[in-house]
Amino acid sequence: MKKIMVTLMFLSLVLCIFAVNEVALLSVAKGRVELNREGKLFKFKTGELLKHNDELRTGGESFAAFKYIDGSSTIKVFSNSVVKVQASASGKSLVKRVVVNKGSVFSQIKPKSGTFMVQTPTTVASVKGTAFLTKLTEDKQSLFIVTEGEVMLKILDDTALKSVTSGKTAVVEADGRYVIRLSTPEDLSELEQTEIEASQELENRIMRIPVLDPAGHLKYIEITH
Amino acid sequence: MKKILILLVLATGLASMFAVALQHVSPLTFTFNENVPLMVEIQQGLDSIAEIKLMYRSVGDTRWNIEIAKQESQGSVYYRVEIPARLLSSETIEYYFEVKLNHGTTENFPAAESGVPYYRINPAALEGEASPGFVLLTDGKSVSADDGYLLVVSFFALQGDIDPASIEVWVGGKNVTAKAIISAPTIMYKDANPQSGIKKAVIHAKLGTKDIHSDIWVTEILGGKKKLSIPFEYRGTVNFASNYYSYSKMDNAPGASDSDAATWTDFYGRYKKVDFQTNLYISSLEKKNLQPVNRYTLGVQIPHLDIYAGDYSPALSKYTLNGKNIRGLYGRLHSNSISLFLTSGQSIRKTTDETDISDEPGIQKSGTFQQEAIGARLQVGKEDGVMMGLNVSRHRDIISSLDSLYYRYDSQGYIYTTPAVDNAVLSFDICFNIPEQRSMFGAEVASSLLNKNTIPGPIDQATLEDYAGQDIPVNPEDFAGLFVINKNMEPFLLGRANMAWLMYLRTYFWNSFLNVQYAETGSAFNALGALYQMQDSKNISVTDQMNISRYFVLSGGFNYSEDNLMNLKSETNGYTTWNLQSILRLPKMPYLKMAYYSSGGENKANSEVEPATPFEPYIRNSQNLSFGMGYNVTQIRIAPTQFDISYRMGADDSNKTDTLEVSIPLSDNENSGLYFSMSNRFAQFPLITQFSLALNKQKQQLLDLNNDNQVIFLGASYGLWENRIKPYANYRTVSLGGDQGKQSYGYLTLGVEANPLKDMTISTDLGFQNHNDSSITNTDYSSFIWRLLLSQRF
Repeated sequence: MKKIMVTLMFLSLVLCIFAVNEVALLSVAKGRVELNREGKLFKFKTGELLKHNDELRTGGESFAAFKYIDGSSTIKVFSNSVVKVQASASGKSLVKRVVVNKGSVFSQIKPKSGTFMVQTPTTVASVKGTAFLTKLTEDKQSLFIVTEGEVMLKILDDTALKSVTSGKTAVVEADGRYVIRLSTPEDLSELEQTEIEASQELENRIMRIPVLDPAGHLKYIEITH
Repeated sequence: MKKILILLVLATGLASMFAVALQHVSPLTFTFNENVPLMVEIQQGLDSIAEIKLMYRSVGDTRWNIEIAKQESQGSVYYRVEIPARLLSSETIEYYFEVKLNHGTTENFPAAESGVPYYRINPAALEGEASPGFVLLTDGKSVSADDGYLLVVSFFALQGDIDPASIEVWVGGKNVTAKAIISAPTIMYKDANPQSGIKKAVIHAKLGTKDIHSDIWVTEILGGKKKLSIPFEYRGTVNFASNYYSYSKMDNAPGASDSDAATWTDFYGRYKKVDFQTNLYISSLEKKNLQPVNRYTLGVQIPHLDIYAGDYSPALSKYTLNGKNIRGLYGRLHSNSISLFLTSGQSIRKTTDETDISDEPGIQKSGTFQQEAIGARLQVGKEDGVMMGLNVSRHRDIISSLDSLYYRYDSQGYIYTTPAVDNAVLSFDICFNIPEQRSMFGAEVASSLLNKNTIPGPIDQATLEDYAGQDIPVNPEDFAGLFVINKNMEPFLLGRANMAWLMYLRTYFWNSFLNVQYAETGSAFNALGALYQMQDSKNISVTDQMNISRYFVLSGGFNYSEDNLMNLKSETNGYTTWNLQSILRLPKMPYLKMAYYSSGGENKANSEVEPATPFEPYIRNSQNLSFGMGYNVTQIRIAPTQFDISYRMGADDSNKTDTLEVSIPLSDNENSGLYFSMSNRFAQFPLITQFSLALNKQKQQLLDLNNDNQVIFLGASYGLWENRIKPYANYRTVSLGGDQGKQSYGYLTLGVEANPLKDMTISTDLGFQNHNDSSITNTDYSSFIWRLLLSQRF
């Protein structure tokens, strides 16, 4: 366990030293999505690139999503959230960290795709191939709702890592107290629930392959996988 | 049958029944941003070739692009041409060669027949190493054109290994690297106003010495509501070319040409669902009193309707209208299961012989009537099922187009120097296409009418009844507008002699493409709008091409034709030809090639017809064998070298047996030749050198004559300013020796090709030629040629 701790600390250091320039692509921006870059606020649109330490801010009834440049993870940022995007190169892989200062994010991580962390004021969640929602409430309570795979939590200065598996929710209070219990529908807002369901539906993807038939007409072959 | 097109990759082309045989080793792949050099080796019929065009396009395109192949040097068996890099995309390219013969007809390789696949080459990068290091960040399998097209790709995992300068971004078949923002580790390309349709994107880069590429990402651009900033797509070229010739002794120079100039333009556009095209060709060789050289075409295509005005070569069916130029109108109204084709226009221009004959009593003036052609085809059925067509065509010489001075004179009644003809053909064709079985078979049957001289006008009913000896219920004068019937009909009554028919089977099985055709043509069958008719004959041809994996191609053909189909002649001539070609090309190994051609002919007496002169049987035979190899020696890093070497040998002999049953040899010849061609592309500097050598020997045994010739060609070009200016020089020397006497030809060409502006090419060269013949005095000559070509693409 100590090893993991040391690794996490080392990776955090790496984030500061080897930060890469453009680290993610803003793939969806609906409503009011702003970017705080080096203290300056920008209006941000789909297709723009995020840099290390950029802070995304979503307004009411707004939504954003970004993808890290290694293609490993998609992060959905719900309304009224403030999220800092960080990443650094570690050899051929990218060490990614999402710092949630306000609101909620849903993270989908491909397996074996490098280190990924989500940080709240009290907790660092490190994952490898999973999907989970991180929520920071107004009273500084951090919720980690795991829908797939497993998340390891490091809470404040506690060196012991806590495992949260699929179907469970970890609630971490501002003072570091925590509880891990079964997830309930009340843990998610309606919008969050919809997005997670949509993401799970995407897992059951339909691939459409365009082909030309002998007469030159465009047709599709649909493969559900 | 299109399934076959997709499945088969051809590497050789041959049509044994044609005048020309060629061998072409398709490169199978192409590299982005590099021209694709293609070479054609002519194995038979070199002397009958006027021009070779490369026709190529991306699979799925409807229009062909054209490049003219250059003969390596005069008399060389090698023709070279390149597919320009700017037209290469991530799509497969298909192509064929159109060989124009000296007498005006064209032959296609592979043959232009439904179901016969073209040559195909694929992007080499996509056959090479696909790298997972290119990650597509943008998602959405389909986007609205209003939202624009966005491609963002990360190469984070590769950024330390690849040279960002080597990255190429290909979107929609175009290299858009210049418009993309490449900032390690991301690549971004935006198109604010994309055309609706399928867009494919691929990234290509160098990883050390290796080429790597991404997956091909497909996005469907859905039609948006927003208007495009450019309302239509267009492309085309504008060209000008001139040739200036000067001869020291014009009479001594065989094939001396007049100076000429030509300008031509091709314009293709698309606005929403409307496609249009304009093709113009204007030459100084156009003469009012000769057949037209200039060409004008205006075409519009909308869903279910194609209309062309000007010069067009409609192909209704094999026996009615098939590839001959008509200046007029052509329309095609089509749906999935029924189509109507109509065409009308001038097929031959009126010309007159204006030679001064005032001092030559007894010689009369003559000319050529303007000839008009009309044609129609009603087609029912589907191309991938059963399809039937009813075709009709008529060619008519317009008598009023010529003054009577040019077609008749009075000498105790009219004597016609230029007869006017009427020709009509009616045909029915049917085709069964079974894509599941990869087979198609079909047939066409046709009947023709020919009036060899319509000038006297139609026969009246009474005269016709006297002539036919029976009551005729119709008056030919009533139908003269459609067809003139008189005593010059050939033959007067319809019968088997007026008919022609053919049937064919094309099928693909066991990696083999088999094409079988049988045809019979009656002795009085005439179709002025069709090509290749040998009257009073039957013909069977079988060709097969077998591909064993992609590395071995074996093709062969057999053709037998026989005349005297109607059994009215005292002897029957039969001709048999067969051939075999093979190409073996293993990856990274030299290719090996072999070809064998054999032909034979003999006549047989027809016991049912008494000959006018005693029957003398003859036999003619000829065989040609060639084999060779070639290789692209990329191991020579400093100058990758492509070479081809062939050795050929052949023999022909003929003899007849006279009435005393004595065999008399008519000819007994042997020939052999060694051909070597090498091209070096230097890697360190933009120098390309070429060298070729041809050594030929001919032996005429009966005359005890031995001749030989030697051709040496040296060429070099050097690219300056990133190939924007490319000076080149080449020298060719031809030495003839043996019993024909010592002769020599020397050709020196100095030229420059420049691309001063985007898509503009200027090419000019000076050619110096001299000829010396030590065996005959006063036949030496020299000549000077200045060529200029300006071309602007848009």
